[in-house]
Amino acid sequence: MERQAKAYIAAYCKGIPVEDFRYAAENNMDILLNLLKQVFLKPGEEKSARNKAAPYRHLVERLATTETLIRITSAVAPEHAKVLRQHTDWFSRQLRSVVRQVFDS
Amino acid sequence: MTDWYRRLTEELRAKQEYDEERDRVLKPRTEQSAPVVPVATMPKPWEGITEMAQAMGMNLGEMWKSREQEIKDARESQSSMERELHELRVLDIDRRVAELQRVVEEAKAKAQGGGDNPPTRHAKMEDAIDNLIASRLDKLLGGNEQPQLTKEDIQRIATEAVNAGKNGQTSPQQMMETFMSFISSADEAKKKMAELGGGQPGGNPYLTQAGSLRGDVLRVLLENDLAKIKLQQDYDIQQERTKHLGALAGTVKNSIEDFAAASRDEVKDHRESKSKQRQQVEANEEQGGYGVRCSECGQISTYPEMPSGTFPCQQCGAQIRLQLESPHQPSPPQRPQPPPMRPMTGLDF
Repeated sequence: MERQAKAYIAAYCKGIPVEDFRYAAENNMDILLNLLKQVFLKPGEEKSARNKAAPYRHLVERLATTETLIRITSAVAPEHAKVLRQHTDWFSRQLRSVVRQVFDS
Repeated sequence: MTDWYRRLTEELRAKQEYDEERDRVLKPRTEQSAPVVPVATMPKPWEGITEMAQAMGMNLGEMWKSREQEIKDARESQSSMERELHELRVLDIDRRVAELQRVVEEAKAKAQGGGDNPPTRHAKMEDAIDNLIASRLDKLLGGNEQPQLTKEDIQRIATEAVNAGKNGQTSPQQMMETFMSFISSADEAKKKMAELGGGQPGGNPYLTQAGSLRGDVLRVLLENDLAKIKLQQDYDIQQERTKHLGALAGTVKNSIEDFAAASRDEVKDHRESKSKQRQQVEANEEQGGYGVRCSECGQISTYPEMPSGTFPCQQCGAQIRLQLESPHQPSPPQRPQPPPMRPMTGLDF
């Protein structure tokens, strides 16, 4: 699981420049939440998507912690990890809102 | 005599001597290598062994007898082991039969414990199961004079099978086949019970009632099947989850570039929006006046004087009624005091 997450984060960080990432953090943008809504929680499919995600809650909650994700990111994209470390509050808030949107809504 | 005659005579004598010598040396060898050799002329390698053994202090006759005794002992040991194995098999079958007899006896005692009471539904069901087992066993055993077997008949058949095995009339394999037939008939009973709804909330409660000997026996028989079914179900669920997780992972893997592009676009839009907003603020600050954000189009329009009532939006033409953002601000709002070098500002900025 962590190996897969590392590959995904590497691919994602490769697609978004550090400057954009930093801009999103500095401007408190909800990029993760918006991404989740665009990709997973599409309008009209929220319920089925949440049902599909429910069995993996323990996996996601174990992996989607700020420390774990920063550690994984620092292994594959050190510059992005640096931004995350500088804006830990923003990143934690993003993660919390994403997990809440998926599992608790 | 002349010289030539004397030389001829010597040569003939020499040839004769040569022939005699050749026959003397080669004839025994030719006889030994012949395909058919007389017995008397065959070599006898054992000759002299007895004398040699006697010279070494060994008695070959006694040694031969001791070897024969050892072979005999080994054969007896093998036969005794085979006998023990056979007895063990018989004992094992005896033990199983004893268990079956005990179960049947307990069932009988329980059935008789009811006394003179009329047969209950439970007893009827047990009788029905017994009859089913008996009919199945009857068919598997190749028929019987009686049309249906009773519990006593089953017990009698089991006892007879064991006795026949002990007397050597049937082999242990045949006895095992008999009992396997019995077990298969029990399987049939299990299927019938499942059809009747035993153990289901709305099913027949007598089939698996606590304390029912028949139910206990069948539950024991069903335990393995239940465990197998549960394991299979767990395995299927895990497989399904893994499959789904794999599909999800594949989707994410294929779309990760799109995700990054979406985030990039979002940042870009945000930047452009900010830039536009900043430009508009700067323009408003240069022009002076009031800024009003339209609730329809979201764009900001600037007015040199404070608008009142209903007025059209400069961007989309929608009718706007002014609503001040700060509820504590008195109406009509006082124009905020500009800083010394930047005298004008907007409501929204």
